[in-house]
Amino acid sequence: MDKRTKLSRRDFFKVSSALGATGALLAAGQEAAATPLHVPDSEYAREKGVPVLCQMCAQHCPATAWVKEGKVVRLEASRVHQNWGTCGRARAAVSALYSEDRIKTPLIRTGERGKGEFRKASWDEALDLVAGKMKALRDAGKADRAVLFSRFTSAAKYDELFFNVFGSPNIVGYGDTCFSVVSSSSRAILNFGGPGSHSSDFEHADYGLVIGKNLGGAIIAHGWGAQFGDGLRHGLPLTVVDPRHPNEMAQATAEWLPIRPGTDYSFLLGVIHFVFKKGYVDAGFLSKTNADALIDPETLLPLFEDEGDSPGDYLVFDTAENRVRPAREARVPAYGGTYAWEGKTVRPALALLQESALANSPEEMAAVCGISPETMESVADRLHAAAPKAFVEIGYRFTRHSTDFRAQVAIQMLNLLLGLYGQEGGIQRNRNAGLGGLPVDPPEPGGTSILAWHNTHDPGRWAASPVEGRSTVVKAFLEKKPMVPELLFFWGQDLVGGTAGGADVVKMMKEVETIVAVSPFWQDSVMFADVILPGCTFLEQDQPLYTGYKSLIPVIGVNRKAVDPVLGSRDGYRILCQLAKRVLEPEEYDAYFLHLEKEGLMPLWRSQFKGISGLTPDEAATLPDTVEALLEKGSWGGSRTMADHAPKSPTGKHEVYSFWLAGIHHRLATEHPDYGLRDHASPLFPHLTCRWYGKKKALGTDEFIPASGFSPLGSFCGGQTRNNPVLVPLHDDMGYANVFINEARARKLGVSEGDTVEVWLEDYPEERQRAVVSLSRTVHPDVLFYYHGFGRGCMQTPEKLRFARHDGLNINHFGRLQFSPGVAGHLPQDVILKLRRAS
Amino acid sequence: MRHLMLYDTLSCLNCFACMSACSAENRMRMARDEGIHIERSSNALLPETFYFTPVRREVGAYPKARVLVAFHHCRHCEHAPCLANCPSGAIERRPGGQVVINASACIGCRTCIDVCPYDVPRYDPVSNTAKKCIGCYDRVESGRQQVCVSACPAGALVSGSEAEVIAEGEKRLGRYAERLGGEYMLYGKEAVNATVGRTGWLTLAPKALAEAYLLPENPVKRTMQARQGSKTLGTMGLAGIGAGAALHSLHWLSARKKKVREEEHGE
Repeated sequence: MDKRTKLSRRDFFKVSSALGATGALLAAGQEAAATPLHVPDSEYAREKGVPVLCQMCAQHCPATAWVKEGKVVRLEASRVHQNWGTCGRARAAVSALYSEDRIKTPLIRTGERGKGEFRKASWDEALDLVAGKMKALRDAGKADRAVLFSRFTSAAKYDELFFNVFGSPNIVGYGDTCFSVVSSSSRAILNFGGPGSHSSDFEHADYGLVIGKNLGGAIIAHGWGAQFGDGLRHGLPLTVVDPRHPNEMAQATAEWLPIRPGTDYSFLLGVIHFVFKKGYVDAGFLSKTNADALIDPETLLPLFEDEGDSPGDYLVFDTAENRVRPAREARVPAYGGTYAWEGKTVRPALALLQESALANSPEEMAAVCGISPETMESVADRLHAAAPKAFVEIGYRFTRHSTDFRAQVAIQMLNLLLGLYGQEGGIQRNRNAGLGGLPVDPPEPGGTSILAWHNTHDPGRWAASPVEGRSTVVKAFLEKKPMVPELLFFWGQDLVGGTAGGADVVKMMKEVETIVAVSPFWQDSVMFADVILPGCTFLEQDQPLYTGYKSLIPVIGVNRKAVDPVLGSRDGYRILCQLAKRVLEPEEYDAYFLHLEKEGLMPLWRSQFKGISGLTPDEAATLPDTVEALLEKGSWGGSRTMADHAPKSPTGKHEVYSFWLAGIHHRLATEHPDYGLRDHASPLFPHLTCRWYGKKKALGTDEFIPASGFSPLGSFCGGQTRNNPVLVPLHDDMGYANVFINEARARKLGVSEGDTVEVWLEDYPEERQRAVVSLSRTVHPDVLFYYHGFGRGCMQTPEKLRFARHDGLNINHFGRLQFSPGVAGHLPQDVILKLRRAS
Repeated sequence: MRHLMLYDTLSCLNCFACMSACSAENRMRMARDEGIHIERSSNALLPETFYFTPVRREVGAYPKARVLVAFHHCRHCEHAPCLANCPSGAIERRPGGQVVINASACIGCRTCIDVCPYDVPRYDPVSNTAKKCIGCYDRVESGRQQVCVSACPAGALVSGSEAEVIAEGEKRLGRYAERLGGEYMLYGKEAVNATVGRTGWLTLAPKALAEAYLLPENPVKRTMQARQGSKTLGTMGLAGIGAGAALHSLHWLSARKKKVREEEHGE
């Protein structure tokens, strides 16, 4: 028993009983305590504060790590500007740092892949093994068969340089399993931007519609989270369209519209119908768009003055002169009507958009999404009434259903039609500072790019990213095109946990020649590695300056090493140098990596600092004079000034009628007449439904559609959060590892609160997962809701994690690869699940 | 000077940075005050280090239902029953009004647990003490914010002097009523009831959802009423310390013993 224990409960009662009635007096108590309380030193551990960028998730929120006697004891947000903040994950970073479940030594696989059986190895043995495999590939002229899956917690910047020098262009991002729809839709309508390029001006808005995303769920504290908090404190009225009621977004006051999963596009088309029908299109804003462009209704292509003209010379009908003229010359362009031009009947884009929007009957849209036409109309009314102090949130959307790209395009178009971009209270561009690059020029890697090859050869990838496409590596492996990847190098990404494709992903992970992983924590992909090198966390290594914030205010983030790598792990840059020295020719090493070995990140920091751009003169004046001063001072923050929202397209207009999509749409018709998903590239508003809905409009009693959320206390599938003892009690309080189904549906299935259920895909009944069920009145009856990053799924990873849950769903472990039209994003939730109570 | 905290349910993002920070700060305090290494406390769940926790609840019927998350925590009552009833005098009120259990004087009798109308203190069998929010008196008394307040990225937790916090609360309340409609309350600003009085931790919430947010109109606990009766009799003077009071006390004691036995059996 603890030394502080003076008296046991039983002893106390014995004593007080002996005292008899005086017990009653003793119990009377006083405001002044019998034993004075010691007031401890609140300035404990305030001597050494190290600037860091929290990477418990991917957002790099500026923070300070307080170090006492060589240990980090506290992490606090750095108040770099008015929207500072870190979330609950950051506060728990100390427990991730010192977790006994971290990978402590290099490991070499001894058992079957995925089973987690390894033996300890020395650093030399492990590094020699990895280097041997890489050198062999390079010597055989197959360097491009090595694929790097990098992310934060890696040796950022230099890991990619290493692959460039090594000779592989195959450095793949995870955007296809995440934000690709946002990048592609921004490309289509705004010609710039992507995830994090814009923020809604929550603080000044009078109304907001949020659909397909959760502003609080995967809270990005610094920037978005704090900006959203500003909005909530100002009493922002919100409508939230979501298959489950999200407690993170104005839980007590927001209007919640439960929607059938995967039908967001239908709902948005319903709203857009009313925007046109009721004349809500912002006539003033139209002049900033290409809505006046004359379009050939046969091809949907815009008209240009002459072949070879720049896109800025698209034609319009000038009602001032009653003739067709280039846009730059027209004084009063027509937005309606039908005109003759060189033997064709042509129409302004807005007229075609209107006709297309009105063709979608709200009743038909309502039948698909389950939200009434009256509600759609009311949302359109509220947007119009509040415009321009209104927004349809574009912030971040994950690729989950085959129509998600259309939904995101519709959101961007809706915001343009209502004139909400670049407005106070509307949607504004985030401001990011630019930075200089590496101190050395990366060489061209040569070799064949897996992504470029598939994007070129597959007509269905008409809006796919050239870098964000990790699930395409699996496709390449299965199809052996353009070649079979032979070495997968995981440095931060979790393909198995984070990419849909289940058995297909596992097949590659079991059969591929070599898998290397550098990681501080166990996660699903690491379990398959042949060699594991224990990397460290952001608290244990210096990192490059960082500016990629989702914030209206620019920030230059600084991450210094707070403590030496713990538990036998090593700094990522040291690991990289040791590997590069073994793999590369000495002169290559000297040219590209010797400066890193000798001087650490200082040459990079200097180069980054020298290239800082994008600040206002006032901001630049507050920036420290030297990089040394910046590193000493910690992260720097600018001020809030509204960025201009000038169109970035070649037409010089916001392309509410996407010329880019029109071109793709036409090319698909002429070059690939058999391609069946061409409508997904339409510049108009064709009604399309997602795959599961196309397959089965009414679900059976035991059938559900998965819908997931990111929890603010989870972070992908990594051990840093799912195994963190500061977070796990909160996970349990909130049921984050459970699956949530509608109470009435559960009753029909004989499922009760707390039951364990078996879940499987309709098409693959042999693959099953188990989870504890929570009954809910706040999920749509069609939905099985779960939080991403907590469930065991089909993998054995929790056996390495003492606090992680040993049950729960990971939808990515199910099924086979499937790609969304155009974007080639993964489709984890465009599937039908079956559920029954586990026996 | 009275120091208040305010939790504004309407601007909360439910990110729980506050609760994570609370637990993390308490682990740091274990290193500072008890010499328990941070590596050790980092590798244990330690539920007692969470001085407040989320309570997920649903109200209404689908499709008009809502998920609400109430915060369960000490309210630092003006007439704190825990303080008034602690038999070892281990509970103290700090100058700012924070009600704090002094672990070195706590005998682990769990009276505070029995009498708290908000069911807050938790018993920690390892140290044989009761634990609950200390209002970060160590931080506040040297000019720092409570750790939960300093962790909130959304400004949903605020603290300061009585006047400042009430002014901020009322400003928000007025704005919500104007922008969102409905009626809102600043729970604890005025005496909640005679038992607890005003509270040192206020909560801004929609009036209609007070119960769901764990903001009872009349927080009482039967065990406490019995104790109050006993105390009243005890203070009636020497004559009052008679057979009745003794019997009452004995009856109360025997009931407690039975409860203790049950609890221990249950453990």
